[in-house]
Amino acid sequence: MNRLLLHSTPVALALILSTLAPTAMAGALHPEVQLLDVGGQPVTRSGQAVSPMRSCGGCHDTKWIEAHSPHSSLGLGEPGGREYDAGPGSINRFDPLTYDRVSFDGEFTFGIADWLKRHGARHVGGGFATHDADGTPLTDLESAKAGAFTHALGDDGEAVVWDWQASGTAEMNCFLCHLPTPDDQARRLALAEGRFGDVATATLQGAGVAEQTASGWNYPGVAPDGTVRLPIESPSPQNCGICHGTTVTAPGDPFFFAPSADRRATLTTGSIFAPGRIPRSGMNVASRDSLARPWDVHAERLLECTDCHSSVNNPAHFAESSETRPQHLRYDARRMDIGEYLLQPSHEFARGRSAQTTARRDLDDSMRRCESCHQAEAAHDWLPYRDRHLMGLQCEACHVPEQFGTTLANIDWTILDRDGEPIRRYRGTTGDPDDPRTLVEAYRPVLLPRADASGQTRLTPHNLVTSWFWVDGSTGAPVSRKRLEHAFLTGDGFHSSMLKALDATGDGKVSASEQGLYNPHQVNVLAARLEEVGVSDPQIRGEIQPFGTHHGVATGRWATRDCRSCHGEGSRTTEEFWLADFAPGGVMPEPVGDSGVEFAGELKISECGHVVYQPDPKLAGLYLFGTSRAAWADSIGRLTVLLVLAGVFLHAGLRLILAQASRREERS
Amino acid sequence: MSKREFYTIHERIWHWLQALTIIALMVTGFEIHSPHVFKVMGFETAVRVHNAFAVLLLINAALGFFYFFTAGLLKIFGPRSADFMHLAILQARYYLFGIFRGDPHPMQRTPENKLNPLQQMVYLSILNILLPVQIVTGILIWGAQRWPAAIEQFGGLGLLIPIHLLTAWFFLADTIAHVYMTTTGPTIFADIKQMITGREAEGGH
Repeated sequence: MNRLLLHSTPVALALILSTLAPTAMAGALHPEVQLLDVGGQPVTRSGQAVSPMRSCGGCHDTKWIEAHSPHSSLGLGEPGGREYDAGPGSINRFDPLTYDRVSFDGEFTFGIADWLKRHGARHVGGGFATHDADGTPLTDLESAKAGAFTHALGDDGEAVVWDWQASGTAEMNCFLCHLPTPDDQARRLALAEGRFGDVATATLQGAGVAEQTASGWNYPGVAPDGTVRLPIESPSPQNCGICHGTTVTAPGDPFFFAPSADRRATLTTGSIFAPGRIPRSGMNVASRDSLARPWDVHAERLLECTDCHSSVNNPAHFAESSETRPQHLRYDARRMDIGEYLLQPSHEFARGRSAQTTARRDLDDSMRRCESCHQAEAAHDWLPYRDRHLMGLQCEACHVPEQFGTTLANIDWTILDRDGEPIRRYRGTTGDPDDPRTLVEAYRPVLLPRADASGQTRLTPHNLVTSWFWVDGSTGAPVSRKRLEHAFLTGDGFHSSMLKALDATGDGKVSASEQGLYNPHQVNVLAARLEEVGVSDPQIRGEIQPFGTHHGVATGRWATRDCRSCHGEGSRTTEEFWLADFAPGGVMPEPVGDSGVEFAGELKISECGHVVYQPDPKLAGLYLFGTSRAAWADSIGRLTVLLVLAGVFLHAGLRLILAQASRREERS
Repeated sequence: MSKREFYTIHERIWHWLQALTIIALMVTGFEIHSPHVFKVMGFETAVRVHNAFAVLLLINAALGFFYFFTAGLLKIFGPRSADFMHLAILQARYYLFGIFRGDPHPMQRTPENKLNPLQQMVYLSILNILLPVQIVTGILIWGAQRWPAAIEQFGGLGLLIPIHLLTAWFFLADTIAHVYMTTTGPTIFADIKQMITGREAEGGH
């Protein structure tokens, strides 16, 4: 008995300790997974790639999950977008940051396979990566006519049939978000090479359970029947950060991030979700020593993305929308059983309402807002007219006073550089944004009125990204990247006519300062080139896309507290917001129409020739003491006072003169 | 010879308190309106002081009304004579011409008849138009955070604040004129001295 105890005690202790360690606990909680291929055979026997839909589908309703995942569909099949868009999502709405438009209708210029190869790293898989818009598996498609789902660009730029049987399809990749160390690099490589069926398996390489060989896949550490214990867990900020933005969880990690389209939230808003203090990071932020604040207070307080952006049917976080909840019911205690939830966890994630997310608007305001967790009234006793401020301002207006990540300001596709890339310019930095030594200065987001779920219009902080691009005058659609490259570039550099038009100094090069269409002659030359490659009536269009800044939150100490920040001259509610150094081709940009943001202000050329946006909260019905002006009241008032003063001085003067004259008369 | 009491202690306290509050409200009000031009105490302090003095103004106005009403002095603000217009013209002519020639005042002031017809007209417009407008708009602006829907019924802050501002300009103009008119007594400071001591000025008119 004693011997049994002696032997069993260390085992029990080890078991207890293993449950105390957070990462071990998460992995230990999830039972073993049998890795199956797309045909349902254990991958250890078939040597084929892992099918997450099959493997995870043993316990979870993966088809239902995929059908309830906007991350998979990316807006496919939804109506909306601009007149030349096929929808409102990332896959069918023109995005100047990525530029490539999938040809869902009209002339073929870009297919789903092309999109997956170039931009698939920000897609979790499933949806259009496995089925077409009608639900037909891509591997079953047959089409004589070039189409988005059946064709891809060949090496010569012509449409060719894409062989989905050979490439496989990119299933919804559970491992990308639910493993603590997904092999993103191997995954990206598989995508770029068009090996879509290998994407999920490549992701598993980080967990050490899969390795690619010349003959196929090998699975070390996986039992012969295909079972393996994987450290499956709820997505961490690093998982979300793979596609969304810069996320860090280690407070002492001296990180540096260059702007990248893969870290879209950081690129477009400047927000970095990290718990550490700004001075201790590797980012060369101006005056960093005086910024002893965390990058994001929520990250510092150990909140994770999923704490707010939870599954909408997660019983721990479920909050029924105020639109459907009966008014008398504050809290619905009924909750989905955890077993039911694990079978069908909705992958529709709660979210607020942002200017940039235009697909699945039905999910807007499904997330708990600041006031759901914070008692604003209790923490703002010091604030005069507290309720008025809370009514007119989103919390972020003061609590996201500045953003410290290098942020995109504008992107100019009217010309290309030698690498076929557009010209990008950033806020807060004038040097090379990829160089860690480049000084990054914070920028202050512009406050724009935006209606929230309750219909109340509040000032909300935004970054504005302005883009200029060529459109085909006959359709209004942006000219494809392929056409731009064909028109402006040759095998060894710029096309001669473009070089001649841009090279103002005549040194045979296009320097950074020459990268832009500054005069009508340059516009005409490039338009002529586009016409030569088949673009009808080429025109330049400029657009402003607002991006709400809701992360990078500061505590009260670092929030905007000084009344003069908004009240008085230099108010941030009316300060000019720089958009670009110049307007390419002289074309003034226009705000996109589907952001929900009210552009109450003026787009103009500043005194120094920059394109700026000057907000005017008064146009949105907000009157700010010290900042807003009623010219008529001031004019009438000033005139009245001046007339009275003039009367007083005239009257007093006459009295004085006549009194002196009278005294002189008396003396004489 | 002892001079008779022209202003009671209650009238003088009411007057000077009113003067203090109006000046304080104008100073803080203009700092709130243009904090980058008027830098006296800082925006936040100006807002708090403005609100505090507004309450003081209201209390003083209420107590003043109570005093004038119970003392039977409200009548001094209103025209009592049938030939009010004739007296007003005489007073205007005095200010426009007579004062320069050294003519005597057309009206002899007494403790029961302190205000000349022009002063009565000004006071009536202040008490019946400017002050009520200023108080009502001020309360509505202050209440914007408590009753936002009600404020919108009155045109919102975009209308209320300019009206409040315009009335403040009128108060400033009136204050300038009022202070100047105190110099038209027997001596330049006689009327101010009278409002301080309460005693009839030497050579009173």
